Amino acid sequence: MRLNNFTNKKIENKMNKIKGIFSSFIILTGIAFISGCVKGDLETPPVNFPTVNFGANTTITQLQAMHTAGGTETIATDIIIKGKVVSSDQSGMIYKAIYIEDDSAGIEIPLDQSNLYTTYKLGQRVFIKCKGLTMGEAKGNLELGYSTGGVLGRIPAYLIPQFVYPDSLPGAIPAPVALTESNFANASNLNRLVKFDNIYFPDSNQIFCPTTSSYINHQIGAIPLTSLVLYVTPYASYAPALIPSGTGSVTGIMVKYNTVYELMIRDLNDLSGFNH
Amino acid sequence: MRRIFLIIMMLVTAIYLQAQKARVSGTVFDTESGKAVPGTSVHIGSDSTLSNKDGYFELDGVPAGKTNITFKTAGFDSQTSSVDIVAPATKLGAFGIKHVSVYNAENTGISEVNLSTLDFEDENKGQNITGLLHSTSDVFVSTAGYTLSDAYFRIRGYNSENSSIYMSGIQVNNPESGRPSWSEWGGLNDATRNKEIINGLGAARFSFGDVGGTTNIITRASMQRKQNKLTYSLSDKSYTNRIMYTYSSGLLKNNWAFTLSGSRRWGNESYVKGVFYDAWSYFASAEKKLNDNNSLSLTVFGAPTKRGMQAAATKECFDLTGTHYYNPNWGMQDGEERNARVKNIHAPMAIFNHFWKVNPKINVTNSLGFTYEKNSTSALNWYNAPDPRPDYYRYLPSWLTNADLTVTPDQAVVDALTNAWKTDINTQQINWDKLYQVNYLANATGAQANYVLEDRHNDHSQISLNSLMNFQKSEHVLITGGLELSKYTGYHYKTIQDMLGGNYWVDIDQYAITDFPSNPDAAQNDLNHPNRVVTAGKRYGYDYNINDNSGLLWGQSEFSYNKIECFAAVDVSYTSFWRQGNMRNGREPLNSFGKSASSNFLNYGIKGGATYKINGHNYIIGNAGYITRAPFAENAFVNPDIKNTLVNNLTSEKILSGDISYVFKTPRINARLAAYETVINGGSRVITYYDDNYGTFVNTTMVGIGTTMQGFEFGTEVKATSTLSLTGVAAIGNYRYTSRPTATVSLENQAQPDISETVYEKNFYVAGTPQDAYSFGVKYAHPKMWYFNANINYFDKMYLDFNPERRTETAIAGLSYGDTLINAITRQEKLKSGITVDGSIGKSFYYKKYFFNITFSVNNILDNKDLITNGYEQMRYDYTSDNLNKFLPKYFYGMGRTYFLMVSVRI
Repeated sequence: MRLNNFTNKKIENKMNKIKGIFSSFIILTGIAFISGCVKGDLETPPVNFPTVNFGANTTITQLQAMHTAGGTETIATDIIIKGKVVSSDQSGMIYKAIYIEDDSAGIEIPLDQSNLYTTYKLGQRVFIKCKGLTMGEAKGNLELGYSTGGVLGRIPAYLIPQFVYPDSLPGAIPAPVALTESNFANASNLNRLVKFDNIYFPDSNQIFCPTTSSYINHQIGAIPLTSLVLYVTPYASYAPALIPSGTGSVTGIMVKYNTVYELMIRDLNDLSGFNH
Repeated sequence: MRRIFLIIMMLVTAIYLQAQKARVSGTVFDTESGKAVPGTSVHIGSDSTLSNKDGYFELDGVPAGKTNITFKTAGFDSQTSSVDIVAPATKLGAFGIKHVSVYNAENTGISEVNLSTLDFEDENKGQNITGLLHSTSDVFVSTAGYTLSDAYFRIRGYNSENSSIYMSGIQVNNPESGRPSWSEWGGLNDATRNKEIINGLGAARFSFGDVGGTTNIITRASMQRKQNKLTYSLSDKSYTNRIMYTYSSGLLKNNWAFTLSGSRRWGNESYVKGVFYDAWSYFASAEKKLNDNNSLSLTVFGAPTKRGMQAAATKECFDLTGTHYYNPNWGMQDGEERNARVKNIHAPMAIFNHFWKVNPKINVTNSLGFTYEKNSTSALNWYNAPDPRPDYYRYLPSWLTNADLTVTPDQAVVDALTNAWKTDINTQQINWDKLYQVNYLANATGAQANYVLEDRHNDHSQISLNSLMNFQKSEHVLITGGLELSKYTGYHYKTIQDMLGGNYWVDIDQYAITDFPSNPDAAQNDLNHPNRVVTAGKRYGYDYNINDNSGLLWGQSEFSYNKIECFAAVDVSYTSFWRQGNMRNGREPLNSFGKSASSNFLNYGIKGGATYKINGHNYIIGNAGYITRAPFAENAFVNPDIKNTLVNNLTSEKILSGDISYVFKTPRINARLAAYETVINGGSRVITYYDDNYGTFVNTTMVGIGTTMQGFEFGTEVKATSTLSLTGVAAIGNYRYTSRPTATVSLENQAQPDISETVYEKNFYVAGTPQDAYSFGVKYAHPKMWYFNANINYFDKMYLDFNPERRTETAIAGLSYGDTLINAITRQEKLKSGITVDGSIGKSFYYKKYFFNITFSVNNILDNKDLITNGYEQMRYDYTSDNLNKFLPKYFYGMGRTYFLMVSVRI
């Protein structure tokens, strides 16, 4: 009996010891917990409301006036222009370039980066510090780019922030310049958002551009192909879609390729009023 | 260990013939404290037992005569004494055993596997495995497992799928990959210290085994050393702090035994920037001895672990950032470092055992295991947006001077970017703030997020049953056999972890939009739920299960005689696996949702070995085996993320292996020299990557891979004086690919039909390990329990993992015979050899009843930061221009000087 008690007590002592060890285990775990929090939840950064502390001193028209046809001009003075982005490369039709326009004119700025729409949304006001940039024609179209190795090209991606300054959040998109079949061929309409109303496509129900072509020029209304074309590459996400039939409005960026005017639609929302 | 055990048994068998039996008893105690040492395994001949809580042991039926008795237990040196057994009963009295007198990596807890944070495409490659397992009394194996493991040395060149790991009788190799996941028990060093380790093809008594060895981690509480131990460690390797506590009750009077253990490892970027470590672990094991013949055991453990990963980088990035430890995975967010590649693992496991002594000759162990693993790795995902990874090849200065560009930019332009790379953190690293701003702008236009952080999940559940029997048929014959059954399901899917400020995400595949312009359905990741809008926490992208059921039956006979011991074993297994798609992928609408055909494989293996005793000092040991192995499910599907398609011509691997060793043993000198060769044929592999040239994902499947691993290994330990010993280890390997596998390249957009090509990789080197490694060490152990040791190591014959597609006819098409470019395209890069020096010093002492142990070790004392330990060629390759400088290989460098300080106290 006594012996049994003794054994029981011993076992009890053992169990108490185990309990003690359990609690110290829990305490130690607690200490480790408190002392060792490695990473808390990361804060979400605030919305960056971009502002610039300088203003424009030149209009796009004034800038373009400095250009001599066929030449290149590297800007050496502190010229600053401003404009709103009217292009988007989201569909893939426009590639590595933004088109901005102010009240006076529009200009193409080639940037060596894809998916520019993620930063330069439609209606985004940007200021361009032109000093160091070069103006010139690429296949007949005036652009404000970067000259390196003696060749005018895109502004290198990591240099973009030195030249292009977004200001505030994207706002309203400038209204497109209304053009007609008989009255479009004017340099002041280039690199801008333009719109043709009551237009039809003779190539309706054909696809915009098959993957087998490197590009296709479609006729717009009755305008001869030597004068104005709807230019589509297979990289445009709408390339496999069908050209609509009927009459409607078409909006897009108008550029020049040598002597031909080209209209590029950004996506299918640029077509309205057609039959499908 | 196995070999040494065999040798000891041979010594014993010398007197077998005078077979009078005796009952032998005795006790075992700690020479330092004078206390009993329970749980010591006591071996006399082929008989063995464990000491009880009073250190008492008893063995029945021991042949009379002069023989050796050996004691082995964790934390103590193995000790052998000569005894005289007299029938019918011999009381041997008390044996004192000594704590590990010499610095021993495993026992001091340093050999813990540092879960490597290397971020490989093939995600299990970054495991630095050897450290955990191979610590035995064999000097070659223990040096290879600890000292050489910093250079990712793999014994005999084996990958981890060639070794089987068991936890209390339950196999823990993942059936899909064949690889065990060490993270499952990381930080449980004390609780998982007891192991049975079988090197190579030797005879195991718990499993048929594998060509690269077999280990059983013993979790039974009654076998754990009775202890109360607290350990604190400080290091600058992968974690900064570790605190670990272990309690083991030993077998209590009420016939219960308990073990509890827990640990915490944490720290930010100990060595590599952006890498952090945040791990917990828990372990509880309870055992109840029902009676002399039956014991029940339940073990539950897990280790929730979170690690920031390190990615490999090109030499250009290392040069620009001025460090070999450049890590592109992280960047600044609101002034804080954030890693985009975080591995998050928790694999709780429960194991139930019944140990049953049916009669004195038959032991049966039945084990049931269950595990449910959560395993995910985060990564950035983006939609129609610039690549957010800082080291994207077009963001680097080399891109500007790339031959692909029509214009060579002015040096000033290149310099400007180079300078940005050298000084601007947002150029070097991920610009998280920018990603948020892009998403905010997308919100403003009502568009989907451009960037999200996703989790790629590889979860699994598994239930395993293992029935094992040991039958001592006679003094000379031990028969072992077992049945192993496993039912496994792997769950593979993606979720969004963090919207990064964006509002929503549409579950479509951006590449498929351009790949299949005329088929809008193709972009759908799940046609059953087209254009599904997903947000944080939701599954998207892909979702499928891999089911893998298997059964294995095996048997083994061991024979022990005076001059020779030998064994033979055989196994038969059946494996069946299939894919279960939970989404209907738009690119494979009829071949992605629901069950795939199941692949079934019947396999077998035979092996055998013998130990021949020339005399008391000289032994010859040989093992050989032929094993066939079902392909692992991860190598069996062409692209399981989207479809059910199986790799064509999938076959079982065939493994033929043999080794022969010469062992020399005297009280002063221990040496082993081995020659080995293993031939593995019929291997398969699946590689998936995004290819710029095709603008699509490419799936390359390879079948018919053959490898041969051959070489010599030598290890010796010489006791120069009673306190000083010298060790020397050499591994001279030749691990080569020996076949010309067939690679089938299929483009996901099917822009061209699948092409099958021969890969000319015969005689290429197996990468990922030094094939030659040498280590010379000095160990000094002062009788007053302080110790010192130092090793100098040399590594050579390390090779870069190569892109098989660069070794095809297509890769060199258009080049004329003798063109030097052919050699440049196809040769395999040999990495630089290197020397490292390690050292450690330690002291143990008693303070009252507390036993303290302090160890300080420094690895790579010479701070060699030029040793490339791993690397690979990029799979992308510009076949049109053969521009080798476009996609340069990526490397990982071994860490420079690191330290590890550990203090433990034990009651």
